[in-house]
Amino acid sequence: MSTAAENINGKSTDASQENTTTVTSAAVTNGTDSKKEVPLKQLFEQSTQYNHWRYTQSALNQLRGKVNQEAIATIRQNIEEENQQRVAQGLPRDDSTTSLKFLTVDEELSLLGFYERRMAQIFRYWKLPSYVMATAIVYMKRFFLENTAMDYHPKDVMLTCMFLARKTENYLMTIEDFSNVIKKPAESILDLEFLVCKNLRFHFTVHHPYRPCIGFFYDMQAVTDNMKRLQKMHETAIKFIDTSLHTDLCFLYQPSQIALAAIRLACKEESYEFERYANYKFRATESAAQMYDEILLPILLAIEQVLTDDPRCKEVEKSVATEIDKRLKMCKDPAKNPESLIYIKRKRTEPNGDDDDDDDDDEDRPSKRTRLGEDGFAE
Amino acid sequence: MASIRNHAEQHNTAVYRDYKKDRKVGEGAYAVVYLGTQLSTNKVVAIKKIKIGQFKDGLDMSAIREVKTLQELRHPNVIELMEVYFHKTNLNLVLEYLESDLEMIIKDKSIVFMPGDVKHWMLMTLRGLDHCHRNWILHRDMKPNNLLLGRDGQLKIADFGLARDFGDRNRQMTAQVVTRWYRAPELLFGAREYGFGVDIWAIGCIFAELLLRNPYLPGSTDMEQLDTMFRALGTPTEADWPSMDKLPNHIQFKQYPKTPLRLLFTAAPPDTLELLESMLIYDPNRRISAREALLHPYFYNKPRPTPLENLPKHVRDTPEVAKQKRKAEAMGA
Repeated sequence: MSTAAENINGKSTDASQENTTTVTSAAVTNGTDSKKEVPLKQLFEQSTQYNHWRYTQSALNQLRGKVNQEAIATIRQNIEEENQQRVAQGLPRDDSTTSLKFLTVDEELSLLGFYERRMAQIFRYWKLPSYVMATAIVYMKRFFLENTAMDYHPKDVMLTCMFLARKTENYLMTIEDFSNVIKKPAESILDLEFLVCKNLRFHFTVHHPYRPCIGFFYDMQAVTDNMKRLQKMHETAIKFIDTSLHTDLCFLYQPSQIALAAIRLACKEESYEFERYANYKFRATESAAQMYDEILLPILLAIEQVLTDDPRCKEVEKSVATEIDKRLKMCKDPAKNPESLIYIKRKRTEPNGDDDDDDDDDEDRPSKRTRLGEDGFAE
Repeated sequence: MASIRNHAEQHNTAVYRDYKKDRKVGEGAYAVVYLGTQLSTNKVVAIKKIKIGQFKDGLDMSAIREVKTLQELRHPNVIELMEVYFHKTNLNLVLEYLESDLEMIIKDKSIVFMPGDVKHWMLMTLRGLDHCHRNWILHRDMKPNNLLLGRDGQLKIADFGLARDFGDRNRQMTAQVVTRWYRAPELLFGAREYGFGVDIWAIGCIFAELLLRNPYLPGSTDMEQLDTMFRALGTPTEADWPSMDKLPNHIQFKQYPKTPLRLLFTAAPPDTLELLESMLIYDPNRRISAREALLHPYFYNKPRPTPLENLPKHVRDTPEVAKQKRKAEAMGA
């Protein structure tokens, strides 16, 4: 692979210009008539990850707050409607729901953190490369940007994300084998696949810090006098990257930046001199040094702060998750419960799908998976 | 009221409503292709409908491979994936619509190719492929049929159902890729680790086919494919391809002599043959890369590539013309 440093300066600063590959060839350019220099765009800047899944911390917080509020409002409304239906049918109101304590954003994140670590455990059991696990975790993180645990239980979404990530990362496991290992029926895993894909906007490629970390590791070998300790440092860096998966870092920074910050931290922990590499790689000229000090270093420091201070870096206690989970069971949306009155009512009054489609001929037999797309969207 | 929690769903519905399927233009084992219209722009598109319902493992690997890779690739010589949406139990890929492909042109014997035509097609193919490779994506099914041609002459690489990312060491991949006539020798020998070379070999075969107007290495079984290849290019020796005998399915073959390409490609100038030869090098590590090929003198030397608008086009009859022709035939005209 190309070295990680290629993309390190990220956002279109002068740095990216300097790193941009320039090819002199009539053939490589679009015009066939003249030789000219054409800068090729940074690869990472063309990725869906860069173009669709980058946030600032405040934008993330705001989005999660809104989604959480919206979910709570909807569920409240649906509970009230369900009760009205019950009364209309001569049934007593269900008052178990009057004193509901809905989940806060932080509680949801704790629950997600708990299930993310469950995913990591299973992937370790499978002995798959780290990036497969990381992809599954990022899928779940992306899914829960616009959905809440009150809408879809993370333990269900988790399984679909794992099954999907095994496919997208070329480690396909048949649904039978998967459901045998997980001990969950195949349908429960497949039924969410459409929904997960839609929420991922069909962006299946996810870049992780693992690969750039190897790139840096190779690169650092050029200026080391102690391979053994460098190796040890690298292993520690990978542990920091594992930890980074449970934070918001994948939404905030580029994989190569996270990798370099993990290395810098690991150097500190293993008393390995980072500056020697930094001077060789990033501070070779005065202008490069200035750019490193003013642009890259602050980014690295910000990432390191998350990796050392963010409470989400710590395991979520099982008792904490169980408590949240218990409350989650209470505040489920009745509109998503197939046995509820409003579910049945809405199902009946729902327009009969989009049958204006012209092509859908013979092979479109109704199937129980048909309802999936339309399912569960009450408003 | 627009709700955030329904974004994905609303988006999917909006996309679905923006496209209309007009008529079926092709059907394969796993997909049906329609000619369609984007209603908001009146743009003609191709809609590839993948029937997910029949796959027991959910979304199948070809669909995932195609969507995964095309979402990341934007290049004038790679087909554009405009949108993806679910409808009922089908996944729909909205792709740029292109009229014909290189196979049609090669087979249309009413068209005479000029050297500049071949040069421009090769140029566009290599540019598109270089973009894939730069993004660490292997296409793994390069053949004339998958090189689409637009009305404006642009060539675009299509059909990414076998494509995947690559480049990490020790990652095993299947050798069962690429249509046989275009399959690289390392794949025929069962290599589980390979790289750019498999796509380049295929392009070499396409290059030869453009010059010959016939498939260059048409084997009918894997064994015969090797035989056809070795007859044409000579059986590789240990010096040509060190440690080829370490490949899983390597077999000792009859030693055919190496015949110079110019004996078969009698009309081709030396720069053409030199580039062709460097694409058809047995040892994948010595085979030319897409980037290197683009820098080859072949592309600087005269003749210049034919301008896009002057490239030969395969004219397919419009439905109306076809209907009239059939009518005329029926009337015995």
